[in-house]
Amino acid sequence: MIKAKIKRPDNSVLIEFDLPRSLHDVQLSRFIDFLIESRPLQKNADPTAIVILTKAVSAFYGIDANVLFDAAAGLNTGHDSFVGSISQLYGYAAKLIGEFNPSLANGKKVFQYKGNEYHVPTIIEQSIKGEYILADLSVSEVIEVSELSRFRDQTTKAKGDPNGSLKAKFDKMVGQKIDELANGGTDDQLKVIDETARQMYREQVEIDGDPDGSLMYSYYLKLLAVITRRSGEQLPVEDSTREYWIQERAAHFQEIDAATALDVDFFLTDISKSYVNAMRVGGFLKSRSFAVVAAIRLKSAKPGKSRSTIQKKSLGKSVGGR
Amino acid sequence: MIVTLLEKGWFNRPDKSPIESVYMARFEDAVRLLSIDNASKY
Repeated sequence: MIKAKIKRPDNSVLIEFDLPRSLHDVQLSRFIDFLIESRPLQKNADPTAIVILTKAVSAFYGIDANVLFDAAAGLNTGHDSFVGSISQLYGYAAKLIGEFNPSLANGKKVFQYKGNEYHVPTIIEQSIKGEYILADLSVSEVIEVSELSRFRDQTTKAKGDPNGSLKAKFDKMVGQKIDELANGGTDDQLKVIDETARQMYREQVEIDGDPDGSLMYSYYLKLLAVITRRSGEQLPVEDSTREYWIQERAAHFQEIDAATALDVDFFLTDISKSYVNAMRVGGFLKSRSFAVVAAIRLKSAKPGKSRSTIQKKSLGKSVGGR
Repeated sequence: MIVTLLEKGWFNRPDKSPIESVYMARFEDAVRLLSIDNASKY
């Protein structure tokens, strides 16, 4: 990591902090805090955007939020405001997320953490294209992951939509959208409306049910504990021993970096995407990261200077349905 | 799934208890055998 500084006009240092070069340099806890703080920015034209940006930057870089707020307001800085610097830091964080490439390389993926090497089971593509050797997961590991996912879903829903009123609201919205369609809409249109509504409902339940991201954080720590393994290790078979083992290993992983967690997240969504009825055990980190990057890119999108003003000639009538 | 695999005893090992044998079995193998077993009933 390199040191970065925000300087006052007289060249004295206002803030000095570590600048991560990649998501390997950002702890998962800070990364999740950043995603949580960035949620309101996905709404358009939020008047408190600078407050949200400041909180998100403070989370990502581990900078004291009070110092950043003072800097944003220009207090004790000898300058009107350092809002521009804070925006740039936010943009840099979003850039690191946007540039992240999951490394689902063939064969075992290993990562180093606190002096130990851990293996992540991966899918190996065979020389025959389209044929895969699936990850070497045991029955107990799969069941543990399923249980973690079930617990997370249940807890989030119990907090986010305890009496089903949110679901009823989304169902009503779907009904209204369908009523607006001519002739009841095509199958494709209905499918899109249904899928969009489900996605929006899931996101809202997650926002309301896990407002500070603590459930997501503990989920990923336990997921890493269950799936990753040191050489020669095995998940204990006896229930209480296994439970204790997972808790201890999850606590050990508290300082894990965001890149490793994202690798596991991409791996889980990769292996389950072909199963329509598969339990959703991953993709939460990935989708939240995508939302942050998409929001910043949409806000900064500008019309291209080279936009053509030449009217394209219309095509003639189609022959033979082509 | 655990109950079915215990009943079938496909993964029983002499050095492990039946439940330990099921927990240690490869998930892909378990699913494959269950699918074949289900298909053979129809």
